[in-house]
Amino acid sequence: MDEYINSFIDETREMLLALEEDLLNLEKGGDEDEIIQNVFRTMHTLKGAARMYGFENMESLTHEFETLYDQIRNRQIALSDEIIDTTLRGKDVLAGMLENKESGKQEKEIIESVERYLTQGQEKPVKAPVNKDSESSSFLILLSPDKSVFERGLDPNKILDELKEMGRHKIIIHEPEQSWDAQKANKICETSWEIYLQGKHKLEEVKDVFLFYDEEEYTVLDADVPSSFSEAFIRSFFQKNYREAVDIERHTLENFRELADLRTDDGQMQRSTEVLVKEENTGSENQAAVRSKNSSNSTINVASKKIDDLMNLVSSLVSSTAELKVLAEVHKDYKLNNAIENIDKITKQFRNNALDLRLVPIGTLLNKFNRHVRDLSVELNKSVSVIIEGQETEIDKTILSAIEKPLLHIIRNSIDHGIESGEERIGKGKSEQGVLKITAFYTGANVVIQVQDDGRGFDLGKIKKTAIEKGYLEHDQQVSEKELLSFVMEPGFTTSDAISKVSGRGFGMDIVKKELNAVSGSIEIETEKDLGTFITLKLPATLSIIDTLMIGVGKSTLLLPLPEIEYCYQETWENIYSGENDYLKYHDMMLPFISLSSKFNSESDREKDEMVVVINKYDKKYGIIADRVIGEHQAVIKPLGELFINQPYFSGGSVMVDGELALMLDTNYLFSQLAMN
Amino acid sequence: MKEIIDIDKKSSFITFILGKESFAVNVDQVLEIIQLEKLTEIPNASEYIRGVLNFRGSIVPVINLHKRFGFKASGACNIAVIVNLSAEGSDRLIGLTVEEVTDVVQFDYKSIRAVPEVGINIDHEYLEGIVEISKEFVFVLNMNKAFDTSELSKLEHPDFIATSTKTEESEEQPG
Repeated sequence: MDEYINSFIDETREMLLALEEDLLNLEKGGDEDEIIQNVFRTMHTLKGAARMYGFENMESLTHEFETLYDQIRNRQIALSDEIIDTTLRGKDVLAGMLENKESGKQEKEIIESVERYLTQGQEKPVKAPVNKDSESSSFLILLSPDKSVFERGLDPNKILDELKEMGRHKIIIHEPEQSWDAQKANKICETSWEIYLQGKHKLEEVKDVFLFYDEEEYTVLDADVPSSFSEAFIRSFFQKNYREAVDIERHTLENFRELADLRTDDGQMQRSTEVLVKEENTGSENQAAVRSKNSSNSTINVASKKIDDLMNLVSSLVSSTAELKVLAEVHKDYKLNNAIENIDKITKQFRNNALDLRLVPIGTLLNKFNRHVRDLSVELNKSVSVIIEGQETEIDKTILSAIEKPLLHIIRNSIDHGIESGEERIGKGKSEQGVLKITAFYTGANVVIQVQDDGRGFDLGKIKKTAIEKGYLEHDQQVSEKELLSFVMEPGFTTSDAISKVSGRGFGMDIVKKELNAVSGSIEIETEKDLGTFITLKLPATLSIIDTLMIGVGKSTLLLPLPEIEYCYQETWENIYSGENDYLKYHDMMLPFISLSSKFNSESDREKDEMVVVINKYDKKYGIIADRVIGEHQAVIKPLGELFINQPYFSGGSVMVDGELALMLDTNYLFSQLAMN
Repeated sequence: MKEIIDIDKKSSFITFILGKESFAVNVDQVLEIIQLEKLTEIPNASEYIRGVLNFRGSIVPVINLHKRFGFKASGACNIAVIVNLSAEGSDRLIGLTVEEVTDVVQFDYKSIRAVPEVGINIDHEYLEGIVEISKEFVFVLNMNKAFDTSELSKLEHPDFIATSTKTEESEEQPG
């Protein structure tokens, strides 16, 4: 049952996001009629679903909105910005309810506002109702739920109740030998229904009633388009759903006629008709086979643990295959080699497919920002339009959640500090409305997200002044633009004179950078005075596989994350160890270094040269001294386990091609060691 | 243990030699006995840990049993018994280096006797008891006590974080 509640929560969350998008479009002046219709329908559907799953407060709130939007679409109440705003806040409260958040006060306020709109509307109707939907339409609905419908927490009777409310109807119940109560008791549903409905609803509205049913379980046909359904179709629907005994021929024609009567002869027909047809239960043998044929291509939710387990298995398979390959080469057996080559190919494909499972489209996150931009621009009284491109770009779900906060901060900064007020923009000869553009795309194994605004840009002069004040720079020191911008990402570095409410939330650019680094991402800022700012985030598409550089120290093979490496070069033992300080001369700078062989107490040969690996992390450079550099390695990093929780140097291990293990160095820890000295 | 042990029922045990003593481990806990070929040392880890190895794609720590029990090392111990310490479904694998795996024997838990108060140098906590098999005494290991995580995860040089690189390097400087 929990599982179904979870899927209810997921689906509701998606619906709320769509609702938000609709409302924002409405504000921007989208197709009013259509969107209002959508909002009404969403509220209606949510109400039904909330009732079904016992979210009572949600049911009552959606009910209020449903009534409000019903009157709006009937033009009894005029839509106002205030109403949209209330609805947006209502959406937030609804989303909170899904997580059992306490929001009693807000909820009350919203309900009060809605009721105020409703009474105001009654006092002063806006326009004479121009009811476009006054014409009634008729539908033939076939419902044949899967046997397991009760286990999914659904009761088909609830659907019937909802349909009955929608207008005049005739319901034909195809019941097998087992009575409905017995089916309910055994939790096996074998009944099918034919429902003839006449009312003022649209096809989509009727379909919305079936939100929690699979497409194979029901069909809604528009009786105004008779060609859309035929006896053959109806029979095949029920047959597909294994209710072969359904006696269609006997009813269909008759019902056609009745349906026509329903439409023309208003006064005399009964409002409600129910016919019970007893059936013999046959033809249930092939169910499983047919069922699998009908499987849909919709999405499924999978616990991430399951995917992690799969990934582990796949990476074991990859390394075992590599081992096998090495062994086979010794034997020089042509056939064996061929077979292994094949396994290798399949394994690699398998790995790629498994990696793919973790990827989600970036749009799920980016579209959320629409709302934030709207709220912010209202708050700051600036007009901003958002352009989002590349929503379909896919990225690891873990990374996507990790970048939400940093990205939000960047966007806030852009609107608060970047984009100017309307008058200022006009004064500069720009259009009054600012533009914020978010673009996502792939480059190689990376995903790039760019946030671009056409605001005033960073004030480099101010940054320089602050940098000097804070002691990062000497008065007459020459610095490049890039270096200046890197100061913005120093902890506690702020140029703004007063901390504004929007950006002063204790989440600075330094944290943005840190959080991005935590998922092996990087950030770059480009800015041009009065033209705008261009912020580029570079992220790995997946965290599961990291590009690393293999280095050797003593007997150990160690790994360093490749993106953090700037340069590798040879240096003599004397140059490294004979100085008084732990510094090397690198280009024009003093490069602090850490010697791994002394850290790990291994002997280093004085006669031989050492390798210096220059790490560039947080724009701080330092050297790591190793005995040798071995080469690149695409690593699947695994935890070392609880026996090594006190071990700060290594963040994990990776199985190499020969089956041996290499240890992943924690460059954060190495850096902190350096900072301590 | 997966289920409550029936002390009257015989269970199978794997016996191995360490120093001059014989030890027994319940066969249910043993996954595999392997030749130690590829072992990766972890610098600065506890002295009880010989390193880690790749076992079926997972990283498994290998414990030096001689060190753990305070025995003198006698030659190369290149045989490792991979055991699962976890009671429930999850895996908590470790490898134990031994000199030689000798036998599979059967006895019931009832026949396990208490360890004598005196004369045994191994920490009594690490032992379930002693059992007599063909006139030889065999120690039955209490795996969870013997391989307690909090103790094994201690670092070899607990103070090495505090030691500055400066002093370490000055020792290595040519004098």
